[in-house]
Amino acid sequence: MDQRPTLSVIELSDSFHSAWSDLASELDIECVQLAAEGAPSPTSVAVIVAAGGEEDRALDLLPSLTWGGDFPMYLVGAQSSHRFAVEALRRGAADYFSLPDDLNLLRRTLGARVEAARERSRPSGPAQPVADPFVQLRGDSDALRATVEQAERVLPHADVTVLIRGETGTGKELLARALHEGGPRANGPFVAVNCAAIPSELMESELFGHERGAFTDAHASKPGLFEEAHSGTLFLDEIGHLPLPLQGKLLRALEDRRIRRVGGTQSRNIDVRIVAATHVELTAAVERGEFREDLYYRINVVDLLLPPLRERSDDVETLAIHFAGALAQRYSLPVPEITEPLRAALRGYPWPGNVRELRHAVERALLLSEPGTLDPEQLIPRRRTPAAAEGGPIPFPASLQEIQQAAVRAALVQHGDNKSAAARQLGISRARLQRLIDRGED
Amino acid sequence: MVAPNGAPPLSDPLRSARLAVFGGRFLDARSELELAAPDVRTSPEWQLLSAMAGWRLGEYALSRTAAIQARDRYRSRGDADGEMRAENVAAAGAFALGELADAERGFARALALADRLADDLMAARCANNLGNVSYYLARYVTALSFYRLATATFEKVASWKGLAEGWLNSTIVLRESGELTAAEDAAERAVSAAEQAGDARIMGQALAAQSEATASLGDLDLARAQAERALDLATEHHDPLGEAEALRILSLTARAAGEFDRALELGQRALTIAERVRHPWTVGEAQRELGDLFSVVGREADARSAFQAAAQAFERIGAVSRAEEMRSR
Repeated sequence: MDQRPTLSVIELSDSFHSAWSDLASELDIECVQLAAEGAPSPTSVAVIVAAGGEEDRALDLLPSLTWGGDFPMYLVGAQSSHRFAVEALRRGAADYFSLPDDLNLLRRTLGARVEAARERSRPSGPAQPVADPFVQLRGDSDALRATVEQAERVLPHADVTVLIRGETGTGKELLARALHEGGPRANGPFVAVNCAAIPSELMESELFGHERGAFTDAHASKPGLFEEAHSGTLFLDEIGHLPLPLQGKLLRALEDRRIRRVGGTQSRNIDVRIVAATHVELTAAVERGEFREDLYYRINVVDLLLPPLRERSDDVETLAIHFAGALAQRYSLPVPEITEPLRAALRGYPWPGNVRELRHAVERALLLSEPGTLDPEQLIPRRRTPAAAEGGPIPFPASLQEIQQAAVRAALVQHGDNKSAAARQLGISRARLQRLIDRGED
Repeated sequence: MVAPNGAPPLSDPLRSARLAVFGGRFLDARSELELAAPDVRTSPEWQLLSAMAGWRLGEYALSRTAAIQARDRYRSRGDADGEMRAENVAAAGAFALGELADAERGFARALALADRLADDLMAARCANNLGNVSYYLARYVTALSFYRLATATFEKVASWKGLAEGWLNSTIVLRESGELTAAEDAAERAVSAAEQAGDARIMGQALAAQSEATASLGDLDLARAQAERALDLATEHHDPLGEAEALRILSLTARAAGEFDRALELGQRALTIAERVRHPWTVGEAQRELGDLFSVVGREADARSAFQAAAQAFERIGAVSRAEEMRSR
């Protein structure tokens, strides 16, 4: 939304007439008078039917006031009867406010709408379907183009589940997001969850939510990610990590379109499209009995394969140029020139970490080279595996004690000699870590 | 203007105070509130505005008391929206005072109300705050769970600044949990969201968090370059906390590179700024970094003293586990 938000007011009487412009002025929005047969501006945050003294007429009018657009209609009058309020809601009002008692409530309700509209109007909001949703995938190789063409055929279908396969760093989330933003659910939320990053015992409450007290650490009721994704897309990355018992619950949720929070008694309707992704072959997991076959077929209605970067070497330079430009802007540096030695370096490396690794490499080279250049020497990441770098070389074959000592040294260095953090990382108690340190110093 | 049914005309004595609070003029808001008539001063809105202004002016105890009074009044009149907002401010006061159990209860109640009222933005903020409480209590898994909810909800309402904060917080917790690659990924998301928000302050803080994740992954050169950019942004946009954080990370990279004199100078600059703005968490972190540095160069007495100072700072805000960790070093 580029223009200033507006408050549209249909005045059936002149009661409270000056209140609307005052309210709009406080909220820093425009106040627009609207005829009952008119259509609110797309910038409207809400439509107010101002009916002080004309409440009965307003009730008659309400059913005919229907517009497209994401703005509620509030009836405002002077009657304070609950029965009247219920009737107003029954006839299509989103809420009823009785003035002057409810003035503050109305102000806050409108304030929340304005705040949400302003948040949405920040640059590049995701709500509108985009002209080319796949633009972020960047590349013109045959391998990528084939995948994008397949994905384009899925775009118009709001409910079809999709399984995206591809190595780590190939852009699975970008493709999932493109399917969302280019499709009929673009106005709904896109919620991404990495199943590999969530402890298995927490997974159910993460997906379906929980009520307070449902388990020891449930200090607060918490909506799940399914609820957050309602009317949009839920992207389940690394779905192969979903624990087997939860796979059945997911399947049931997809089939019933209803979920229940952990510890809850009430079922909730959900309207969510699932896009799943995996970097491993789920068919093998099905054969091993680690992934339910029925769920596999439920999510694998359309199968999209993202090729690794080594199979789309034509795209490496295109991607590097794009990242160099975007990152130069981020760091307020001149856009670097792509030289022949740099091209050779880009071609000569297999990029096992795929697009993500390439992006990091370009960022590194950009920051560590002379401004306006990308030094090929700085391109290839020089990350140390902490254990190897800080623990020093380990003889092969090594004794268990040597391996333990190397791990202890590495963890201590990594955490700046913070023994508690090192112990946490190693999955042992602090006392045990101390014993290992003492043994190493013997 | 004539109101029907003999209703009184709409007058709003709190309008100026409200405009001042939402315009960020908190001292002006205080003056406006003090001009209010006695009957207005008992209204929940007066109390809530006082609480909001007080919190921003660092008067956490007063703010909390006023917010609790507002909450109870809103609750007694069945105004769930007002109750939610007042509850959130009361919990923020408790958080600032280091009363984390109260803060957690308050944010949880506000989250439940936001859920019931379908107020996504408030729900996202409460989830983020609950994540912060859990982080202070060293409950990292729970903290990450709340940050996941917060980022999903901030994204839903396209609140890029909120999203950047959520990912920034996730970065810090993931790095401390040893999930370095995930931390790096979260940091990248924080920086991207900050770019979308066009908010240089949060951009600087996100870059600082990214640089610390990069340092943990062992790429000190890149980490230093990222932290220097974070420092530039913080200085340029007058963000002392961002400055202190960037200096602390530069100190860490200097220490890891064996440049101990430079590390000491940077670490002390970080501490000076953190003390000047009286931010206990940042003071604690700066003292911890100095303690690590003194340990490495063999200045054991200085290290003990720095860790003790860090422990005291963390205790002040209720971060008991972290304080204990400092005392054990």
